Amino acid sequence: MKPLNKLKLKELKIQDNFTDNDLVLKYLNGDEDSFYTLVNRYKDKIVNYIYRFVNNYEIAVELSQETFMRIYKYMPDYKFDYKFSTLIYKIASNLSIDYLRKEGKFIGTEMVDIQSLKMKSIASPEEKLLMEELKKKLESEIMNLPIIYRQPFILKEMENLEISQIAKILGCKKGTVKSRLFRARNILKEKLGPYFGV
Amino acid sequence: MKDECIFYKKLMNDYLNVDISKIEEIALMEHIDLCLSCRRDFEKLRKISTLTKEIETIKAPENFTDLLKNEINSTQKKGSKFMEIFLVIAASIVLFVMGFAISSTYLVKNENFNGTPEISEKRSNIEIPVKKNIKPIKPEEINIKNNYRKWEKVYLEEVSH
Ligand SMILES: [Zn+2]
Repeated sequence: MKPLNKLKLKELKIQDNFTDNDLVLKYLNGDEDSFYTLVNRYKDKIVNYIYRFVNNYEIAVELSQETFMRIYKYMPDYKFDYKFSTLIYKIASNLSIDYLRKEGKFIGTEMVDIQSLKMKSIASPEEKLLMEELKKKLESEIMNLPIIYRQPFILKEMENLEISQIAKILGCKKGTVKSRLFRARNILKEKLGPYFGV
Repeated sequence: MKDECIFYKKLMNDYLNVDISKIEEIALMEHIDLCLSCRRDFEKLRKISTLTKEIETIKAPENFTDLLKNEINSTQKKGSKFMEIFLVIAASIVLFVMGFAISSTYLVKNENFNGTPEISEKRSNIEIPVKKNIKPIKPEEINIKNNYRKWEKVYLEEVSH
């Protein structure tokens, strides 16, 4: 059993060296495992991304499964016009928005009550605790951003994608992405600014 | 806010997007050194960006890939079962249509050949030998008077007895 596992592990490590496009090509040439290497590469990112919209872990996992199912069904017609990552974030974005529309939660308008957190300098354990609280506060404020600002913000700041890729995912111009990011950052700055003590 | 600050706010956004040229970055830093309001804003925005990157990301469950594999395999099985049923139905339809088409073209061919469908020709095959033994009656051979007299003779004989 053990040598097999080691071999499998080695195989997986080799698979890890392939680009997304290589894996898609390998899959299209009959190597089913390549598809699952792509799944393993993106599953955490997609679950995290969707979670930031639906705010429910079970639903985030369910919609992520659906995202991969859709891409699996799309594979036989795969066109290399988009990066694999662009395509998968695009599907995940659409599924999240569809879900929010169905639930009547398309605009994140609900407000989270702001506790009075005072921050002056960063050093002591007390302040570290404040830092953690601030992070939580920021997390909930991100969740409260209207979707059109939340999407580019998460793609940029959490998923670390480039502006051009975000534009493709959201189907808008680079300029639109930049101005939405500007707006998102300023909303967060207004909400959290008083707690930074700058 | 000073007019020129609006320009630098845009540059702050570009800086955070990692979408800024070296010259623009230098200009931004110079302005920030001089403008207290922009410095404060920039610090807040940078903190938001850093803190966001530090937020713990949500992970997929351990069995995520296995669940997906099962789902894919089961839809494929469902798909192939559906395909099986579909093929059986399709094949029977094709056979039925083919059978119908063959028989009807055969009928049409016969019809074109002699104007009578195959079935009636089969029937005529039976009748032909009978017909052949009957000597056609010529109009001049029909003698009603003679026939009547024969009948009259028989009748009169019966009555007289
Ligand atoms: Zn300024």
